[in-house]
Amino acid sequence: MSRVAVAVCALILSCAALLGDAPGREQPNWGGVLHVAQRAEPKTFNPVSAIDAPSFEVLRRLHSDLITIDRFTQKTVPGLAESWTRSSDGTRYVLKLRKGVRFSDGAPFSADDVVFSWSAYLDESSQQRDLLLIDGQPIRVLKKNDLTVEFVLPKPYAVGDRLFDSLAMLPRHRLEASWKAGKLADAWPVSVAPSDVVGLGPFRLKAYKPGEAVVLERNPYYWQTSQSGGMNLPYLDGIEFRLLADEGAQLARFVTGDIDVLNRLSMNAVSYLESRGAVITDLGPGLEYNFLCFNLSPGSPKLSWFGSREFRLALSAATDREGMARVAFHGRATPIWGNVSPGNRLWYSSRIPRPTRSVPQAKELLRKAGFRWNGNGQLIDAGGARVEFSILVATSSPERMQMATMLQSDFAELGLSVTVAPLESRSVVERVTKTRQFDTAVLGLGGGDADPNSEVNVLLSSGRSHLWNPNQKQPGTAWEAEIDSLMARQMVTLNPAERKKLYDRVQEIVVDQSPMIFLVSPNVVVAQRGNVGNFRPAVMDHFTLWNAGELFLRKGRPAP
Amino acid sequence: MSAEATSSSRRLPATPGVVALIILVLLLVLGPLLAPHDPVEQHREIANTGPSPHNWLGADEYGRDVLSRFLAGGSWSILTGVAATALVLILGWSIGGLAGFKGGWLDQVCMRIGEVMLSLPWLYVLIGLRAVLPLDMKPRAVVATMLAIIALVSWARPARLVRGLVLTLSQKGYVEAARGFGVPEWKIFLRHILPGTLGILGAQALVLFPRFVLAEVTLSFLGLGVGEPEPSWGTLILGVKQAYLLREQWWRLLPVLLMLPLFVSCAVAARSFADRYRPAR
Repeated sequence: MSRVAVAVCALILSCAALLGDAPGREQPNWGGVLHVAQRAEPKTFNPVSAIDAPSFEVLRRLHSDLITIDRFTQKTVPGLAESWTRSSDGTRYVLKLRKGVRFSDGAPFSADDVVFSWSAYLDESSQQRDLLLIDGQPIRVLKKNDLTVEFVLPKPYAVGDRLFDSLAMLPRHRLEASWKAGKLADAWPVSVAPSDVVGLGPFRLKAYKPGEAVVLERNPYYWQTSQSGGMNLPYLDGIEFRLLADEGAQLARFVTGDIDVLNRLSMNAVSYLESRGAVITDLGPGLEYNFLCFNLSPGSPKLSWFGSREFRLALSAATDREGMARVAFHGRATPIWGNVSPGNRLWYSSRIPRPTRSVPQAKELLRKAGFRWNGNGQLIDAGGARVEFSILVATSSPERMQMATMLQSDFAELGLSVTVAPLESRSVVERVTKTRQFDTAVLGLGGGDADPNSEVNVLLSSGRSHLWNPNQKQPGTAWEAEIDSLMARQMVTLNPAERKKLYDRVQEIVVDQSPMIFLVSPNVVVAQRGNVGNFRPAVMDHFTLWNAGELFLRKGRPAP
Repeated sequence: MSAEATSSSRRLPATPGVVALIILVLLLVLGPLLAPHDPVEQHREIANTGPSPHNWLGADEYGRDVLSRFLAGGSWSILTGVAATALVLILGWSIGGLAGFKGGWLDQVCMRIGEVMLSLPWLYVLIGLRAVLPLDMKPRAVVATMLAIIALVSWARPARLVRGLVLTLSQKGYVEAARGFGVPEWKIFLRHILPGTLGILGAQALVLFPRFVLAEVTLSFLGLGVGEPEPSWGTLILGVKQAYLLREQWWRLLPVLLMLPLFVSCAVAARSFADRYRPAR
């Protein structure tokens, strides 16, 4: 090789090295296992029956969707569908699938899997079913050819392309038998053999060690390629979710280098980690909203009290939201009076009243509702029975535990006797969503998508996550019927301003009736040890691992 | 009787342990009277603040006075320990005494049930049980239920000890002599045998008491015992399990620091009791 050629090669290599060092152009490393802390165990590995956040945190690394929402830009980007078109009337979407995509067991992915997945999600046992109904009618899917599918909507849908986000495409060859046997919801429990769980995501299940870890390994058939070399992602060899219910244990493991990423940091831990030099990112108010939910199901033993709108409003008036934001979240949270957090700038309604805390006003409302006080200042109902109930709360969330204790104290000022019942998070989910054995519960929702349609499950009276009274065949009250109607209308309204107006009205009704007392929306604060590349946390769930395929580990592991 | 049951050469000085124990228990039981503030009243504007002239040990995450909660919580933990110990000893003493004295099938049945009880992992039983208890049970009712269960599964150890002692005492010369003079069995049991077991019961009480205080602390720490807003040592320690609080307000671990002398003085007193009342060979 001539000297000139050698010089040119050296120049090119130097330039490449310089570019590699430039900010935003960091050269990714291949390999390594990312360790992530997770507070609760997954309940299932089945995307059809999953309802809890811990399950989804794992599942979304195992599966891919057709069109996905880029959590950073909040815009839709191609997933398994490389392109799509929408008909002029907004009722038909034609999606063109990527060629050569394979499941994590090597089986090819085709339009048949899309059709099967859709049938699975529309199954009666599916937790996602409500999201695929427009005005009570299902969205249908037709196979045009092996790589093309058409979705037919019963009515125009405002944000049709966002519908496909987070709907994992399922392997027909693995799950069709269970579906035909009517046992789809029972498929892929946590006791399943890891090799049986097959998906299209960047990772596949390697092991589940209850109480210890969920171990994911690189999916060798993953379809997404790196921007530079055209090699198949992910960069990482695997992800290990370390199951640590206690935040103190998470912090200790983070500080010693056993954990690389803390997906959601409690405010208590922020100052501690800041002093340790960890890379902390505060993204401001997220989409999550915390609330106290009343059990308004027909069988609820406290329905005679909770059923009274004045009673619920009185409790709302006595709630010290500012105190909760300041004390439980160290000021890194925003008090809320409705179900839309200020972090959701597009859909947040400024018309929702935000009254300051007033115990006298609360007492007045209780008086109007027929309650009174005995000689000891204890609240009693019209029949003379003392008003007492419990607040169910998950022990895995110190902030919610703290909010429950503050509510207990706030309500005591009204003469109520409230018991805080801390239980393990799975027991809480079980009681709220299945057995309905609770009086009230402090819970949190949100984070999936900023669009109102992600709340359909919560707001529709027939919804499975309509937590105060789920799965109603007919709306039990006039105001729930009005919400159903407004949600149905906003779903098919293409004009954004008109949609906003409809959804504002929904928020007003929810606040006016207060089946949930909205408390605070916490800031999204995440931490990493400084060794994770392509780390781009977002306010939408999953805050840190949404781009898991692109994450990589820098050489060497700096101690925070 | 006492002269026969005493081995003076093995005596440990009981006084320091017993005196320390009495002082500590008195302090803790009378703690609520000494508390300067209402231990459950929240003042959120001073949440997580350090010591001040108004709050000598600062305020917790809800703005409650830490010193008052500590004083009130100690009393709750101590009384819980005393109640559970008394319950277990009454059960253990009755069952063990009866089994040892009567013997036969009654002895066999009691001892087999006792073995089952000894093998039960009581903490896991309690965790499972708490999940099915009504949610709106008052904190004190929850603890009372839990302690009753602990007592039900913990009587076996003192019962076995008492049974062994009763078997030994039954063969003593003075018992044989009483039988020879035609003293009724129940009178022999009450007059000559049961008094001989009191020493070991005292020692057992001092061994069991710290265990049950610790049980209360463990249960409350796990969220299964005394719940908010009631203070107990367990709930107080629960409040400081967060790393940042331990760094900034280390004195909130005071319950742990106080448990050490309490448990050590119990152990010293228990040893001296056991030595004092051990039957001579």
